[in-house]
Amino acid sequence: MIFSLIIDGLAVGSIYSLVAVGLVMLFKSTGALNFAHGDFMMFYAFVAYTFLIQFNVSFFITIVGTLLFACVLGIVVERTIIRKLINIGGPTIIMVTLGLGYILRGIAGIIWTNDVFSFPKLFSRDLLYIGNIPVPSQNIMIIVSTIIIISILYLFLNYTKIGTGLRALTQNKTAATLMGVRLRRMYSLSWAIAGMLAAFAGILLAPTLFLSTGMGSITFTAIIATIIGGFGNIFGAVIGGYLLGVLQSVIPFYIPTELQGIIPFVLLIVVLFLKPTGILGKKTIKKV
Amino acid sequence: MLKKVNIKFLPIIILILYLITPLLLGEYYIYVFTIMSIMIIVVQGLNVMIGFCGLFSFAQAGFMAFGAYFGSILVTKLPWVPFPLVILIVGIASASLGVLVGFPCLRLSGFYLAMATFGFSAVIFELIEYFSPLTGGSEGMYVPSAAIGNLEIHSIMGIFYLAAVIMVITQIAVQHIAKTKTGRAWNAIRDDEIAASSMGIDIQNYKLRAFAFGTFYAGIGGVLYAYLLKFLNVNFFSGEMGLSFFLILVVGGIGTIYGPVLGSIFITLLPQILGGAFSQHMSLVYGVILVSFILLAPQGFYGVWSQLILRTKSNNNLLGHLFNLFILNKEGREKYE
Repeated sequence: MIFSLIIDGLAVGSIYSLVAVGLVMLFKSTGALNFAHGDFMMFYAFVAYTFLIQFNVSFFITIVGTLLFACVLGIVVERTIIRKLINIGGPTIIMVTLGLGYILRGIAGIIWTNDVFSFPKLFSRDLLYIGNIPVPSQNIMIIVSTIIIISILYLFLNYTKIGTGLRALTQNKTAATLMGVRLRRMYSLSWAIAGMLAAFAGILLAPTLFLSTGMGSITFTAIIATIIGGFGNIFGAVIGGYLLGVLQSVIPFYIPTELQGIIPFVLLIVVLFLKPTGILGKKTIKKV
Repeated sequence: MLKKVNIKFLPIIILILYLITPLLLGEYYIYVFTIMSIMIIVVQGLNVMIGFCGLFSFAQAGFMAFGAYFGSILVTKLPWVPFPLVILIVGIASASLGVLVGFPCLRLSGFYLAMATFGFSAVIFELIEYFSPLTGGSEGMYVPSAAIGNLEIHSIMGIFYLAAVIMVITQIAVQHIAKTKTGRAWNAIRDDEIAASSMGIDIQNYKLRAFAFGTFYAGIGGVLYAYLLKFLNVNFFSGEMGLSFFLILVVGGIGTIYGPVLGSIFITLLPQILGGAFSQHMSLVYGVILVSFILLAPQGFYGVWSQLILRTKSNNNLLGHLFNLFILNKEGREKYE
């Protein structure tokens, strides 16, 4: 019983991780804590739905099309809105992303209405047996594809020139610029990558849940995952996402069902009190 | 930077208009204007936290819910407590809770505080649903009328004036505190924490004061909201309400004394002006307003307005002359002439 709960938790945690990694990338590069990230994810899930159902194209074309759309929308948002606020930073960017969330929800409501849709299943619903324990193959597929996506991101960031530039930018903007990293292109790139991660998360999440304009509330859970793992650390975000997913799936077994909703928040408050920098976080000293 | 604009008569003119207008427009607008008062109170509290002291709190709606439920339960259990006392008790309770929550949170800065307060308000909403015998859970609870002795305020008009009076008092209190040592310390902390502490400002202490101030206002706003609606449900608070506070703040002007007033007037009247056609798509309208204000007029209405005055001052035209004559006080007039 516990084992299958853990697998469930890992599947949910995969999606949290994808969203959380996107959030951290945006924060590290452009300093924007993107409160609309979940709404972007919702939007891309709807785009995928449109490709799949209304245009009736194959699954492969759906993914490629959605990723392209995510790339373009990410870059457009970055160029038109975020870039003007990067130097102001802080609360202003948070508020602008809150506004973006409103807009995305509004547009999605106009195009696709606020109804609840069921997304076609991408993977078979069969049960796999690991030993004697039945595990939905869908969950296994979600976990495997997430690991593949994050590995590709890891290879990109560590073994390509552009990825190294992006990492350099997050460490020291001035030095990176002096070394010839093109700042503005990197801003756009990080928004494009984060958008694609959100699109993947949306495509993976929508079949397990329902598709609706309210899906965007995942942002807060994902932010909690990043804080638990250590804010501003991509691997912290992955670990935090999986940890949160597993705990969220196992703990309800032991407490009254009415209180399930507060698990992430109680975890957050506990982490903030015990170790505010999170599991992988290092203590930073602010210098004048 | 914006220059400080001297205004003396305008607030009084607005207040008189505010008190008269709903009487002419009928009962529905009395309700709308009461909501406006409550919004001004609550957003002014948020303004003190974000605009004055730089503390980004997501918990304002949570504290408002706490105030509303705490007040209602208090009135239900102890009906003899007169309503001014209820409002005061709830305000103090809310501020104490704020200090309790703020004390550990305020060691952390920026996003951590934002997320901790967000988590805290989510916990409040869940607990309200969980303690259903006391709060009615998801079915909601009825709220007794505001009463002092045997005298009860039944009519919506009574609540309107009650909210208006409290709004004016809270507004004057903020205006006053902005000029005191505390207000200046808040501004110093907002602008540069390290510099402020090196000037001998006790950062933790002043941050806690700002947090207590903001949550006090949220609690008061919550009680008035409960008195107005006479029925409470968690969904009133947990939905988009928290976001609309930020919207009001940005539209009015963050960190300005009159910002929350202008913002609340605009945002509560907007759905009435737009009419039914947009009611389905209000979230889109709000989003577009929020983003365009941040990009085009980050200082909000207050900033636009003070720039307008500065411009009319430099142009020597009749309209500007009249404007300055009526709006500016004696000192400003002398400077102008």
